[in-house]
Amino acid sequence: MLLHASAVVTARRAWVFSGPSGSGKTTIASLAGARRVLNDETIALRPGIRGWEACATPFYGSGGPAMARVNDRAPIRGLCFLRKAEHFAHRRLSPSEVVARAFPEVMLPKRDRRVTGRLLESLAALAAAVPAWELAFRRDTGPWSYLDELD
Amino acid sequence: MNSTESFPLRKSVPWRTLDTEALVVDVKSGLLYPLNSVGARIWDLCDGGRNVDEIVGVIAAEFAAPEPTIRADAVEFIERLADAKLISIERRRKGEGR
Repeated sequence: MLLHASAVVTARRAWVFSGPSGSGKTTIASLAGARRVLNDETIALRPGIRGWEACATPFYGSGGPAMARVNDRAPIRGLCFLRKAEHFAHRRLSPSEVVARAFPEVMLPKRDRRVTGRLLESLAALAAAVPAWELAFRRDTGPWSYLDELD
Repeated sequence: MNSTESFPLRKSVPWRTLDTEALVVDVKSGLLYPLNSVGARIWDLCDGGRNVDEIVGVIAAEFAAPEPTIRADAVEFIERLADAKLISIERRRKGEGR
């Protein structure tokens, strides 16, 4: 499925950052430093042999084409729903919260009953397999050392 | 709402439970409604075979709260589901076939 999200690979696993426009997807990708950015706007999520993977797409956001030059994928380390704030803070999300947060951020060509039902099932599987948090972050500081502490 | 003659029935919308909560989607609007554990249980009970009185009775037996509070909250919740067109309310007397 295609999710409105940015993704950054660190230690060979991807942090996926989702949220509506203005929540900080591109901002957090721009703070990646030497880490690999899979994309700043659109990430493909799919179940792989070793768990869910985040895959790069060519559909970049406000970060421009430089944010969509990578053609790669990585197992997902965690999924964060972003909120800009003055300080870092996090809250682990329940599976139903993950589905509710991700549902409006998934791109679908149409949302009829059958497709929506399948989307619910896919998101429930994702929520059961991937740890997820609400993440408040400062826009001037990379979250990487903070994220390392999450489990 | 006449609670003995009102039989709530879920409409054919995508939904699923996760743990004790439920997620219900209104396909037309694209909105997803997260329901807490009590809401999810009421949703599950809206099968067209139980009237509102019976639904309140089940909830009162399963959740620790005064029955009048449960009745008021359950009726309001069922009315909100009906307003959102996620359920229909069938009017019939107990014992009458569907």
